[in-house]
Amino acid sequence: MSIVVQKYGGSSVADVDKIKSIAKKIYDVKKSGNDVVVVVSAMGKTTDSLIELAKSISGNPQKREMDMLLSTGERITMSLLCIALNELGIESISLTGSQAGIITNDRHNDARVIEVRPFRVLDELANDKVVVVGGFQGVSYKRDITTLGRGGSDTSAVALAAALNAERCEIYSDVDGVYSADPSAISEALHLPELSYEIMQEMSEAGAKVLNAQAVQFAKEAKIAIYARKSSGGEKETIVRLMPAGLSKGVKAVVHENDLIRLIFTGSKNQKNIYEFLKLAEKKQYKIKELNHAISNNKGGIGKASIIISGKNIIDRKTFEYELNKNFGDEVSIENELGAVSLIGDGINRDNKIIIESLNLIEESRIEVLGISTTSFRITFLLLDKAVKDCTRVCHKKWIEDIS
Amino acid sequence: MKNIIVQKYGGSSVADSEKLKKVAQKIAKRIKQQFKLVVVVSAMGKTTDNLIKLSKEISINPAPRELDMLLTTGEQVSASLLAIALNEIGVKCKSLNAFQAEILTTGDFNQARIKNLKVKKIKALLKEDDAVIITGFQGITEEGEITTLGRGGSDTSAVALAAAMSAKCEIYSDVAGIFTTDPRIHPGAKKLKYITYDEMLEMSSLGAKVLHSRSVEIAKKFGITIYCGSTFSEEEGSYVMKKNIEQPVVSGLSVMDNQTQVTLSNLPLDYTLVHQIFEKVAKEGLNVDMISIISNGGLNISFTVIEDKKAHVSKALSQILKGMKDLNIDYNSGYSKISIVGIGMKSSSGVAAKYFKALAEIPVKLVTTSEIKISCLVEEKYKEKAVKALINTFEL
Repeated sequence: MSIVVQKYGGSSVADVDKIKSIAKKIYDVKKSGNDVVVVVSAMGKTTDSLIELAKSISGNPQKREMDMLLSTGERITMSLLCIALNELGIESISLTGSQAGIITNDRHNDARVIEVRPFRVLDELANDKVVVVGGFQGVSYKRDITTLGRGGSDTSAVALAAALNAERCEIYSDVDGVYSADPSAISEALHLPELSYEIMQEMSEAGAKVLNAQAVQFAKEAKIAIYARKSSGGEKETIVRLMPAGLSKGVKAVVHENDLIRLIFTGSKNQKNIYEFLKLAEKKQYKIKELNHAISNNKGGIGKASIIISGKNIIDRKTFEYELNKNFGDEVSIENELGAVSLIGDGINRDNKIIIESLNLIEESRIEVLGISTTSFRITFLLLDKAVKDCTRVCHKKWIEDIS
Repeated sequence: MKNIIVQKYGGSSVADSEKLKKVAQKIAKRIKQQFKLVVVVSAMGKTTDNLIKLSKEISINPAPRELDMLLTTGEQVSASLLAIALNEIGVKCKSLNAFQAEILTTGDFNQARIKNLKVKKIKALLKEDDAVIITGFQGITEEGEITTLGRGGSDTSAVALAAAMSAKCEIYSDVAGIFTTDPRIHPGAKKLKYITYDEMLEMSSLGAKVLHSRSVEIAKKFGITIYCGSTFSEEEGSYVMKKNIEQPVVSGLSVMDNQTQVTLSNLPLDYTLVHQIFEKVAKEGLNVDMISIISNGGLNISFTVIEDKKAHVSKALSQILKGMKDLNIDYNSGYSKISIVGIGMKSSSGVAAKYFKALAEIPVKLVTTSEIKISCLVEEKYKEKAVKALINTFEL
């Protein structure tokens, strides 16, 4: 029998009626002869309200305790979903991340799955039960509860699918797949019916919220196809799977990201400063998106480094800036309120045509570029946060709308 | 290691973030007095009721295992928030759920019993930290299933932890101790400084909602003195212990409403029938009380149950008594059971005389007694009058 792993996001399980209608969907999949594992997120805005509650007590709550707190959200959903499934006559059982064998490192709030031991899940599937697993959570080797960061339920689902050697992994949310840009920002965004793992991973890392980057990485390693679908139904879906290289050309998507912070280290000690900063970032779990360090060979080793981090992980900005100024003084400059727009596509940098034309376009649009970085799948422009929307729009028009 | 105290805070004491902060201050104060604390918490305010309501919207009869999975989230929320509040004011601590604290229970979902406590992890944490916060009300089976101990089970978690760690046990709520009777019914109720385990057990099973009766059983077994006090006032509370230093004849009065008297009359004079009836009732998990059996040619049996269980009892009885001629079963509802409890009754005479004198003007339906208790069944309309008369007579 083939195993299907389904994941339902928070908006798909936001209230009792939605949970009941999902139970019916699962009923159909089970009745058509599949073994079903369901991964759920917390209901609607539960996670946000728990964070608010913690913040009303402390500006700087312990990460371990936050994981203890936030992981309750998924547990509520999974037990309610099982109650709904049992009500329909489908035997089911809910398992916490820990019971399902999702072992992570101990990096609280942003843990990485290091191993999945799905013995209990397999046993329950063998008992002909639908297994409902709390997403977003795991357990560290210290037996502490961990969470996998935003979008972590995707990772739970794909990691389980890989460990169970599932036929496919279906990710249900309130959008019907992946678009050439965030459809809530760009109404002309095109639906993408299929994508390679590499492109999807690049999109997720550049800020696309539709699928979590580690989840795509797991799927790639285990060669499991991800089906991104809308939970309320609809014809469209996006399949992320293994695709031969070189089939698609040009820009596939324009992805944006807000709330970035750039640190520029200058001065004679900057090599040491970077090292110190990296240690600090490791301790405080700042998420580094990009690091560039250039040391001039001609000027006696003097160089410059820039580090881009996501502001979303830093709850307490004042403490953050205080720490940096205390440790590095004048040798660091902090730039807040930045954003980025990335063009994603196979072999996008095979020649310089796209980057040159894009720069011309951005200049014509009177948008200031604060930095550029590239990989073989991506060209990223760093901008002021307020310019991100305009830049996304002009780039999307030129490279997607006008070409298709 | 320093002296360890186990404290428990009930749902109303941790109902919102302001209250959690106050509880944190109270704990910090105790740590300054050179104690290490194990703190057991209930779910915040009405959380458990709300979660039950949510599950009932999906199914009137949710699977017990899934209900436990659902309900145990409540304590995990309050435990982690309390740990955050404590760290904020400089008290080093971590929260542990039942899985992490290894509170092993039986597998009876919704009403599991604690089997074993491995306090190794708690002790190890207390070497470094000032306090450990434990989710009350919940346990884990050998197989790793999450269970709950029944309503009020956090008391049991606390007393069991105190027993396992040979620590003092303090239970805090919004009531400043144990009273002669429910202060909400009788505002003049007096606070008891001491009450024995046996008295407390009678009170718990008779409708006084101060302590989970299983917690008192464990305290009795291991000789743990329980202090019951108010979370937010400094008022002196009550001690539940082996001996009552003050030795009053009657310590307390408790009232249980919604009683139904079940009367079976004209049964044949066959005592195996008595056995069959009560065995059947027990099998159905029904709690009966105030049993009376009279033989006058035939057999007349009566007992009381909670009104909610009337239909269940009726079904059970008709299953074993079907086809019996002349049998008459009556169900009379709307009664209250009023009990007085006191360890001193054992050694003093004349309590019954005083009791019936107090109730002289009240039509009493049924009376039962034990060594330390007298209970009577009256119609609800006479409840107030009876309670007043007994309180006056026994100076409660």
